[in-house]
Amino acid sequence: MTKTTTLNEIVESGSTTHTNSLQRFRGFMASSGGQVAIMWALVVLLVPASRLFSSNFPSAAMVNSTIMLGLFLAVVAFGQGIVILSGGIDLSVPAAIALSAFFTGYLGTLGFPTPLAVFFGLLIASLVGLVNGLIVSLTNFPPFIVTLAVGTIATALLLGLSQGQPGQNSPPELVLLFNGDLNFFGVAPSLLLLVIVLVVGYLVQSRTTFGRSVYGIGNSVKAARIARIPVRRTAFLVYWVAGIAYGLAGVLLLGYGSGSDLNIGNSWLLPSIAVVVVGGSSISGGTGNYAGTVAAALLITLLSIDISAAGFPEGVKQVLYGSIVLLALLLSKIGGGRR
Amino acid sequence: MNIRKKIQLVGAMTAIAALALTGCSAGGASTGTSTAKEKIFVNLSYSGNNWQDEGANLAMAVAQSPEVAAKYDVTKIISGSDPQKQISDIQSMIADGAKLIVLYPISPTALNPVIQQGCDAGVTFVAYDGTVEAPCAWNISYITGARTENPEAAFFGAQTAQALVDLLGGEGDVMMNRGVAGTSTDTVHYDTAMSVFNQYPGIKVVNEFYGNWDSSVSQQEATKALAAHPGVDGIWSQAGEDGVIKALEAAGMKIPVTGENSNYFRLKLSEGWPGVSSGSPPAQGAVAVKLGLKILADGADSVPKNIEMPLPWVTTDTAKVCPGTEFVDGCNFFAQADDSFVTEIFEKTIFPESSYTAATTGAAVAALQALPSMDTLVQPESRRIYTRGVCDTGWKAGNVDKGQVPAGLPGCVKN
Repeated sequence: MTKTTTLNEIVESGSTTHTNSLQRFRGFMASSGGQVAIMWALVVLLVPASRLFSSNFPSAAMVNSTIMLGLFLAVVAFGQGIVILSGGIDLSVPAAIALSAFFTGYLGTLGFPTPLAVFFGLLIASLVGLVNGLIVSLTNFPPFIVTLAVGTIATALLLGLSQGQPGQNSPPELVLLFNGDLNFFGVAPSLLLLVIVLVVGYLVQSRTTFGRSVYGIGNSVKAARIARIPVRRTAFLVYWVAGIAYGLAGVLLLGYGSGSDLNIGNSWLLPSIAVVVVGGSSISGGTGNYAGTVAAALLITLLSIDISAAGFPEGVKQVLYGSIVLLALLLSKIGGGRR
Repeated sequence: MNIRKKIQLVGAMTAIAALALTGCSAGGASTGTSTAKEKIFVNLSYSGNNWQDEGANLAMAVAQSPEVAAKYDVTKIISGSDPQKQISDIQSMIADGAKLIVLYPISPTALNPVIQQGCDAGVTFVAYDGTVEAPCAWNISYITGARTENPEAAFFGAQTAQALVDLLGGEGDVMMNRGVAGTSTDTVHYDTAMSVFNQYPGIKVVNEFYGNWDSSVSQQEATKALAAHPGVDGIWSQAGEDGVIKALEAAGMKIPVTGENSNYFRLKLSEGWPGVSSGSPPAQGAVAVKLGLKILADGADSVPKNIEMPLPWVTTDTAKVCPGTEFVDGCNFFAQADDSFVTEIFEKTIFPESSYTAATTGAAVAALQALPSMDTLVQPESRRIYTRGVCDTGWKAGNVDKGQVPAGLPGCVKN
């Protein structure tokens, strides 16, 4: 700990010597807070700019859809983000999403009370993360391969366990979250959930010992060891927590679709990585802010809605989507003052 | 180049010779001089969605029925979604001495060489749902299929598009939920649908999206598209229509939808939602096995090479819940099934022995019913180009103006 403190002191003393406001502005922009502010500003700007894509935009339906679909992406990206922050990457996302959606639906149909079904669904999904975490923390195998292998095994096990009945219905309480029938004093549950996810995710990542340790091992395992951060325990927890996040996304998607099959998680892996990086995290770990990730999730979702609205052919849509991810990445890196 | 051509020619001639030889010997083999049971393989593509699992379960339910199990060894192989994997799996099956391979083909063309190689070794191939161009394989598919009550009303895409136009009174904005981009099945559905929409100046296609034949993706894509087009009047959908319906419900819209055969869609139709449910029946998997068994038993000439699965057709007026797990009294969906369960597990003339249990567990059907004559289900030559890539000899590519509604679709015409 002494080492990091010293480092912080040096950085702080360095920035205080530059007293003019331009320097201070630059300092703010280069901080992760500045980058987060830019991402949110882009989201807010894009709402009216959606007019360019469709004469029906901006609209309440557009904002609702963005929040709802953005919520799923934000939850998945919390897990992926914390793994990337630690210097890893997680390819077991689809497997964990499918596991929790399947078991929550299955147990619900068996007659388990919904909270219990959700609890067990999350628990089972977290097993994927648990195994990832054990292997990554106890060996030096690359997370890329470990999570790919564990995800593949989990998917295959689920395929076998489901015994030819991949489809599951959702407990009715989960359906209520997204079908428009429920609101809290006029606020849609998806917006409420997004705010909760944003706050909890930010606090866990940036304000807990665990979260700070993840930054530590993501920056330098060696330095983290010297700083007496429990490297193995942290690496293990990272994947386990990530597994729980994917599980939560699976539960939410089960409710959104009022049912699921085993392929429900397939479309979320690559967007989760894109969102984390666009949100300002370094793909090699050690830097990032969950508030930026959430902004990026909303930004990417809104853009995909805009692209869909414009009615381009599918090929053009995909090219546009890819280009915009690159552009957003560029903006976020320039904005963040990083190389 | 000349040498290569010659080699190909020699290869083809050997192939033909081998085919003729094995064709002759096939009848003799089934009388059973060898002690080991002959091998049947059921080869599937990806799995994890209801459609594939039901097709596989039903195929296995037939293949494992007591009378078949007594005669054959049956193995199920899942080949993922990569044609290369399916090719190598088929090669292994051939090497393993397969007698019959019933397959869901991932690609209509990529499998041609390996199928030809198998045919040369005396293997019978029956492809279901998707089709293969290799001429030695049997195809059973709904892709060009026609409605039972009107054999001239062909093509899922065209028939559902016409139904949607009729529901809209010939005027309105429509959206299209397509399948997997770049697949031949999606293209056939889309092209035939567009040929109908294009006949009506009042119909405007305002948005197209790809739901990947997946309920969840369809729901997400429909949600996005509906945000942009809140005034849309109807939606034409391929599989995944249950997701489309859920997106509409969340948006508080109840507009005509045509789609495939999900349980939830049928339920909504039965409650008065305007629309038509049609499309790909998982029962094809079981019918393909039955056809394969018949070919093994009665010889290659007993079954026509190109068979069309009749197009299911359930409307708001005819959607009806089944009281139990059997199709009785014209019921066509199940109270206990999950939303994306594909209801078409049954065909009243060629697969009446089906059950919900067989579709969900693969449990063997107790008594296999003999297949009736397939003559009424033979694909007309005019539609051959969609499944074999070429027209039969004596036919050439051209627009089909007679004997098919809608008229004017591309197809094969007599020379």
